[in-house]
Amino acid sequence: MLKLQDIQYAIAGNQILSNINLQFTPGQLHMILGPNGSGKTSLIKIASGQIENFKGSVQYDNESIQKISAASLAKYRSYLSQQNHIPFPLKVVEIIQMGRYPHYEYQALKKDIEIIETVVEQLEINHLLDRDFNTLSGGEQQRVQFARVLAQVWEKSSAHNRYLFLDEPLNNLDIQYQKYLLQTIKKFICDDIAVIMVVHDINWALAYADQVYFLQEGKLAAQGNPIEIINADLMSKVFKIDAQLISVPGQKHPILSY
Amino acid sequence: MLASIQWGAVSITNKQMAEAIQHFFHGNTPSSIYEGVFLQIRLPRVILCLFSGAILSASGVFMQGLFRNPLVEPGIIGTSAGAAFGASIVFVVAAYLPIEWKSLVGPLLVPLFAFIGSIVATYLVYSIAKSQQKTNVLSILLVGLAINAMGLSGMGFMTYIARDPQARSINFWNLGTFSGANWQQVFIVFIVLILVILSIFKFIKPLNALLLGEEEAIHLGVDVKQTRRKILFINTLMVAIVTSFVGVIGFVGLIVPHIVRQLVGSDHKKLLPASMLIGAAVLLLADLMARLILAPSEIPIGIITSIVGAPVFIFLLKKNLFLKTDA
Repeated sequence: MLKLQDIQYAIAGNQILSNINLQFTPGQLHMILGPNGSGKTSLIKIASGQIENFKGSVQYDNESIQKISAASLAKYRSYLSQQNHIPFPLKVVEIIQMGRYPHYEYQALKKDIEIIETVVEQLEINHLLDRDFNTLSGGEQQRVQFARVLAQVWEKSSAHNRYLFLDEPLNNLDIQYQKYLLQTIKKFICDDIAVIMVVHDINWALAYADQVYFLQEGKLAAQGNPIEIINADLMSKVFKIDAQLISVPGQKHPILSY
Repeated sequence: MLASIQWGAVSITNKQMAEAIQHFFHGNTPSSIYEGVFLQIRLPRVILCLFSGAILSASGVFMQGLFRNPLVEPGIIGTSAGAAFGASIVFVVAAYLPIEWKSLVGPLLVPLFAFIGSIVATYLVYSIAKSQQKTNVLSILLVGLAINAMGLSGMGFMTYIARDPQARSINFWNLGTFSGANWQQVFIVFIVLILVILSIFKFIKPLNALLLGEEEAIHLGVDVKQTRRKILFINTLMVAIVTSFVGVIGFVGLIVPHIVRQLVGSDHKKLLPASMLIGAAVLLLADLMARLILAPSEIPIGIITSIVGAPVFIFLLKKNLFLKTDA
């Protein structure tokens, strides 16, 4: 379990996050939503260990993040950021292999190679392996980076649960691949994996999330089961929009119209 | 297949080396007296040249990886100029020291001051470039330009206050030359080279991870701050030592990694060793040209590398700025 307690975070006097208390339970898909600038990315950067100068506590499986070395955390926590710029020619296969860096010293082991092959197959990107990353489309680049972070936490670790952070992973993807990616994530989740992602589309949250968290001006405005907590009031409070939930015949979850 | 490319590079290099050495040998063996010349002047020169080429190229790879920018190299961002300035201070001041002092501290002081000069220069460029949210190509180059100008004007001042023979050697050395090579220098540079080769193993993964971006490297378990400090230190050390012996040789660290990236890609596991081999060959070729163009007198090697390197730099600059506006 990943536990955040009393998180306070400020940059140059601007309060970015305050009084954040929440827990990311393994076995679930957690989605963080909120308006631009509400602190979503800062929140997951703190939770993932990238931002260190915050107040409060972050605990991975009851161990304070300050006590975990960067190298060992990387074995069971991976993170997909929003930036994709690589200033040099690099092959897709080389990038995906980097996902296994935390697990081997100098030479990729047989196990690492197998994991890479499995991930590549799952995400259907075999045909891209020998391409230069910079010649790919935005959507293809996104899928390659996703393969890399997936490979990083692919195998079970006996001592720890696994945590996968995704910062707006649906960017640049068409609807078909958005759906495909979310289904892949759902399939990947098992008892010892928590996936924590920032998304914008509330309908994806309704359809796929186990837990949702709404941030507003750095504070947690609501959290819980998406179908239970997402309603017109919350939308007008957080996003300042008029919206209504519409139930679709034959579908378990409603959709939000706005 | 990738391994075969690398072997190709190695064998080409070996061939060039063999040819170059043979050439000198044949050109200078009318009598056995010249074999002394070969052993005491030519051979250390060739070896120093090979080592320097390898080190400067590795330095280019290190810095480009660290700054995440293909336009950075020791000559451009001021590392070499800083080293040269530091060394020129010793050069001039030492002339006023008593002879026995000079022989005692001279060989150590020059690399030491070169190191201080280049670490100050590199750190300045890096911290100014870092202070912006996104490290910008133009800002690094402009700061590098300023630092370079500072280093060179410092050297100019030293030249001005120096006595004539010193001034001439500072000047020559400003543009790089291997004419003063001796076995002692070869030995010291060899130690640096070993250090570089050993450090490569440690830095392959962090440097590769940094290609993805700083955040990505952190999440792959790389201690980015520590890695950066270590690489900057080793990089500065190697450039400073080489520069204190052979002067400022620009653009080698720019052209060589650029060419090698086209051949083997950007994975540092292949990029670093291949760049060092090609770099050694390229610099040897440049030194050969420096000696042959105006034979029997020679021109500074920095002129050769700049003539070839500057257009490559402009080409890369254009490509990079174009990409920037495109994105």
